[in-house]
Amino acid sequence: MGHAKKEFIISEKERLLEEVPIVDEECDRDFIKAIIEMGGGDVQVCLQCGNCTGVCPVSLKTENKIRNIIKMCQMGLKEKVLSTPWVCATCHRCYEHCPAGMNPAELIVALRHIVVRELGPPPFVVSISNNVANLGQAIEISDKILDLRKKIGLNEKPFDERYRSKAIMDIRTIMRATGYDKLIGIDLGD
Amino acid sequence: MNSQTDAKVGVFICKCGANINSVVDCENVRGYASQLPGVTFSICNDYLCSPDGLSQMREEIRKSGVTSVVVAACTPRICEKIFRDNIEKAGLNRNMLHITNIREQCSWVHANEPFKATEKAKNLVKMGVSRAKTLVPAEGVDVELKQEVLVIGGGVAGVEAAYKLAELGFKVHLVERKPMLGGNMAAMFTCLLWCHEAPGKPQSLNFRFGTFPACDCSGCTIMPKLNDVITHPNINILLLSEVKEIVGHVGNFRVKVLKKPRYVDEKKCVGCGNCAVVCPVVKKNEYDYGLSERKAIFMPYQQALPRKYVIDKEACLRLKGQECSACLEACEFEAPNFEDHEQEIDLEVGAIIVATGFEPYKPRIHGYLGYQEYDNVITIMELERMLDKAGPTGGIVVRPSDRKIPKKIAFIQCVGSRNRKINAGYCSKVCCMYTMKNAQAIKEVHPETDITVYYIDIRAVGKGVEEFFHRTREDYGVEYTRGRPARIIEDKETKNLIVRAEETLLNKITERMYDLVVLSVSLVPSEGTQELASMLRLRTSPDGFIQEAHTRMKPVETSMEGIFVCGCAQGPKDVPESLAQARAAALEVAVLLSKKVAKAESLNAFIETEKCIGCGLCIDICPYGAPTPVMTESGMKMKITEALCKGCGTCVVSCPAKAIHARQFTDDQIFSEIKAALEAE
Amino acid sequence: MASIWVIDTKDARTAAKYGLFYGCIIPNRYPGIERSIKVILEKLGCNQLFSDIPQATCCPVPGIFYSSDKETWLALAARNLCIAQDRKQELVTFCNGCFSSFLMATEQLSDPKKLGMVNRILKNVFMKYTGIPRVTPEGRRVLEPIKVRHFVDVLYRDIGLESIKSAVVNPLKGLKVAVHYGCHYLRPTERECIEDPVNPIMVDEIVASLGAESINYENKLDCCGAGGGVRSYVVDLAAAISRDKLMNIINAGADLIVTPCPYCLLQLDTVQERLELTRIPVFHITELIALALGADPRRLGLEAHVVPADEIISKYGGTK
Repeated sequence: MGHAKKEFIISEKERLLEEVPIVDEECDRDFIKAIIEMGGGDVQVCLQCGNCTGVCPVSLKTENKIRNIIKMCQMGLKEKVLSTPWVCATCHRCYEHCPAGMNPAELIVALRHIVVRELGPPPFVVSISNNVANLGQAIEISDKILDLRKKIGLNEKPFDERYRSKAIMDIRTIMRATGYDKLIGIDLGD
Repeated sequence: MNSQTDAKVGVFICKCGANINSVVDCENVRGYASQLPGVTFSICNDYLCSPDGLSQMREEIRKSGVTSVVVAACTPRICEKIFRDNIEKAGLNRNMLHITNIREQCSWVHANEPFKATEKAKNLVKMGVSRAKTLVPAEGVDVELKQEVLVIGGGVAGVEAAYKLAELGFKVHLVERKPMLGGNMAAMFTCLLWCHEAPGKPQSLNFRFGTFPACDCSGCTIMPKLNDVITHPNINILLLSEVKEIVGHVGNFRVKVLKKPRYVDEKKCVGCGNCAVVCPVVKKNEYDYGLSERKAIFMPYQQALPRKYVIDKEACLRLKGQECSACLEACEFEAPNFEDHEQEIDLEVGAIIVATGFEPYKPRIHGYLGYQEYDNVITIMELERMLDKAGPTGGIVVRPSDRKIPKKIAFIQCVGSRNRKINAGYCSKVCCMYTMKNAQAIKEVHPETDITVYYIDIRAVGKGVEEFFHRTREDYGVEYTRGRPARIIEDKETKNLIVRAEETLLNKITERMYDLVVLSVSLVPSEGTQELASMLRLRTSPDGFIQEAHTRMKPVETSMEGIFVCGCAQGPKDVPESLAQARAAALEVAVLLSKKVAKAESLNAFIETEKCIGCGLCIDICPYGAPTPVMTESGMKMKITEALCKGCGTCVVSCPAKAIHARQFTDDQIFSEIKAALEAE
Repeated sequence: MASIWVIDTKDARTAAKYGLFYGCIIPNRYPGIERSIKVILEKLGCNQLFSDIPQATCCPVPGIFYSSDKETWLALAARNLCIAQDRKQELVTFCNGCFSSFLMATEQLSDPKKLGMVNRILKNVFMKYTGIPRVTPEGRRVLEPIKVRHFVDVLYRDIGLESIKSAVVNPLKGLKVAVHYGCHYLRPTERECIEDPVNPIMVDEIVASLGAESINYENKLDCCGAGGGVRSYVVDLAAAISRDKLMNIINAGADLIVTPCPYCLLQLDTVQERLELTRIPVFHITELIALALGADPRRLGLEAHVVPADEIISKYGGTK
């Protein structure tokens, strides 16, 4: 008997959860205000009915249920929320269904703003921003497509060179004026 | 006004227990007030509205011989009448009172700044004293009260109110839009016959499911009441009728009622139904939500009261100009009357009770829940009709698509309620319970049915209701899953429905298949409530229900004197609550009318006829219809009917000739207050 | 402040009512769409109503800019709107992303606070967003916000299904098309929608007017999974969402997917490399229309698609 009991404890131990209770120190009640400042709306209106999760394409595939994210915001679990990945298709299905009139997609956008400012932007934001600042467009064209354009009778370069340099100058000026270059960490030259 | 110089003012300051005194230093204010010019005395009391406070007030007034009184206390909305009555008892004219609000507008809003609040209270009292000196006595006008009552709406609330008033001896006119009485409660007739038919089961078993939580048959409970009303000599029932116009004021409303033709003589019809058998026209029965069919001459449902048939004007061949007299030939009593026509009925009543009730919310067609897109998505009212033993399916719940008995049923709560998107943020109050009741009813007939209820929160409040909820889960095995369904998808072949929702307590998205989905729709104001409210000049709350005069203190009164509200017209509620309100409204009417003559408060506007230019702007702007044009020697002038005027002052400010003045709110009086406020210490 | 593009408006075709805004994906990934737009306008005989906007840049992509800094996003979008404003044109987009980005921007610019903020920034590039001055029928002078249009909307409401129908030379009889609307077509902003987001019909009816059959499939209005930066961030997640979508389409027996959005197209097309499913070609709605209107399929740039559409081309692409 004693032997069996010992084994039970050992084998169960590996399966025990590492989780600890959430304590007051983790709850930052000012977080709600920060979200409102970033345009995320009032998370307090949420009834936690779960309708958003039910329609959310991402919630079905990942552990990040949108309702949980809202709950974490309500409690002010800032660190937990900000460490959830940047995955929301901003499809606005949740907003369409929300009976409380909240817009969870806008909440996610506000959280992203906070992430960018506090933890730094994810790499693809940097690379696409760089593209826009350097090319005027979000994606770079490949040689294959350049050839294809010629073949089907379009201008070879999608962006007319006559206007491109001025447009890029505009974009860079705007980015400098809003401080976007510093925020994202892209080098715009002088 | 020369009264200003020799006015003697008495100031009473109410501490309201700690409500005022804990913030405002009342003794300090009292000391300050007694120094003010013209003030004879200034007194503090713990509760001025208590019998002790009131008798002290009378004593002091008599003793000191003051000419006007300032009461610094709570809002005039609560105690104004009490204080006015009191100074009248003490021998002053009831108009010689000014109330200064130092509770809602001072101590409550400045709870954190007691010092500043005290200073503010002093200033308010000073303004009040200055104003009190300008008050002039005035007498209210006598209004004769007609001893008849109009009840709008023949549902359970309207019927109850009408019956109680009729019993008290008042003549009651009961106006109902539909061809029968009983409203929504009678439509939830249910299982009347089950009481007798339960095979092998004792009759005392829970076999009657009209209403919650006692689960007694709504038919059994409402039928006797309807019978009483129908046979009552004091009640004049006007079916198929709508109120078209209401003018007048408390004690004397003149009402125009439009009575649509029934095309069947109510006196002759005995409700045998021979006419319907021969009628060649078949239509979907809207009273059964399209679940059954009816003829052009029909009875809405089998137990409709009064048991009189009605002809559908749109469907009847004869009324459409074709040759047909099948019903007339079949009727022994020659009840069908194709010459019946619309009638306008004029009534004169002393008071009005609005009991227009509710209607079930209509879910969005082709919305996410697939209502009226998928056959097997129904609303609760359709289910109620199916559960009626005498209803379209004989008391058995079936799938509309194939008339099979469903094995798995889902109820979806909060459809149309708690939804700010559609401007219905309110909780509809009864849906949790009617779902429990219907789930139990289904389980009684088919115990093997699997029932799941999708809910956000269960609100089972009230006597015996939590226990009712326990029984639903424990004794009947109904499953509750917390989550608002996101969407419903129909399986094209089987017509089964897949409900997708997050089970929020498990953090998992579920997709479960059901044979039948029932939408527990909310209660919304019945059609036309808004129009009726604007006709009666009643306020409505943002959700469209009729607003009572005061949420706590005046639950059945409305913003218009002499008009009362009860039942679901005021907001969603269950049967006992509707009944309680109906009785309360009936009592209020009785209290009002039994005086025979009422004195209208002299807080009203009056016109200086010399100044009036007869432009009529006041007529357009008055929300109560008080000004009327009169022809005089010097041309068209306006006159204000004092009994109608509420003293709101809208006409006063709009009058281009400055001819209108509000009694107790004259320019002099208001300026005296402003002057006092701006005066340097 | 005079705009630098004023010179342009003089020589540009100012008679054109609509300015064509291609965005980033169409010219750089699927140039065939650009080509088919030109073909459609020519075949419908309304190309004089449309003109390119050569100064236009990235809208900018909302998944990146709207998510990281709304101020920059709004200023960059307003820059593009200013160009349309100078040309006095309606801005026609072919991508749900651009459409939603611009519509959201015009909505936000109606807030005077935000407008002031944006104009302070735009001052640096000598632009000012005001809206287009117009005189109302009552004779009032007003500044109208730039009209942002989706090409589907222009086709359906301005050009009309009848004109398309009468221009069809290759009726797509028997072609089963699964229409994917995409989220930002249905719900571009909080306030505005082109049509009922629960029961959209315009693309379906355009498809039907070409002679093809628009089939119904489960969860038709679901997301492709790519938007909002999901595709860029967790490509597997986007693929998993697309997989559900594609499964539903394949189960319904479709021959082809048609979408009004090149980003959805990019996702649904390229994702099929990673999935072990029956391959199903994906077209932009303009490509399908061009095909039905008799465009030379060899010059529609269909090579750029990952999933080839050879079968459909050989069946319906009667060369002209």
